Amino acid sequence: MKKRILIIDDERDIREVAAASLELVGGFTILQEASGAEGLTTARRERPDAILLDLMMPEMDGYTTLRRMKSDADVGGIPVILLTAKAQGFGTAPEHSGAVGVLLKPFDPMLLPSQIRSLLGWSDSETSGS
Amino acid sequence: MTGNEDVREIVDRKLRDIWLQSREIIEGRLAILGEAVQMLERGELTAAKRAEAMTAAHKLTGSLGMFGHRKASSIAGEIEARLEQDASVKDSDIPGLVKSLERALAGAFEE
Repeated sequence: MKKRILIIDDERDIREVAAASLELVGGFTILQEASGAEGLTTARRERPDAILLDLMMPEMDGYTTLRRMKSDADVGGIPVILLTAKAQGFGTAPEHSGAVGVLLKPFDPMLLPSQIRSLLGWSDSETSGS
Repeated sequence: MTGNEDVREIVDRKLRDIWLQSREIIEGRLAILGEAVQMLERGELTAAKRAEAMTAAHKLTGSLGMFGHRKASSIAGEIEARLEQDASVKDSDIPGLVKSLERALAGAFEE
């Protein structure tokens, strides 16, 4: 069974590149949403194995979305990786936010799956679905 | 040809498709920066436009590098940093950086 990753990012181009990378290079099954609110709904309904969450989004930003996820009994246990183009100036230290880690944009589409596996402690064999 | 090379070719083709489909988004972000420069040069850059331009620069920083435009991504990051310093003396650098960004992307959407 392939691992399923939910990508939440308001930027369509970044969402599509991340999805292509994770599907084609990583062999994951991908779900996508363009806002924190839609992401929360999809996370509750689909229970993905992990969530890749953009920090800078309009309306509900990544930290607010993350806080709501972590306080939700249904999805609070799903590991979340933050995605940001800002190398500095996090509002909250990532290690204290409830996320398992932070990945910086721009990312290399050929390397993104292995970075995610590394953060989540997933091996190639358990995520490729083969 | 190895499996990895096959995957890289497939990914490269897919990225090219996404890049071409994203033209309107990218050009829209560049247009926002151009408008901000014009307002800046007239001494009329508002806080709202500055914030809009900062968001556009932030989004360009994040996306351009994924499509292989590393230099353009880096310039966009510099523009974002200068815009973030509200009414900073560094504002004078912004028009030149936006020009550099436009030059770095010249012809990038040609097939």
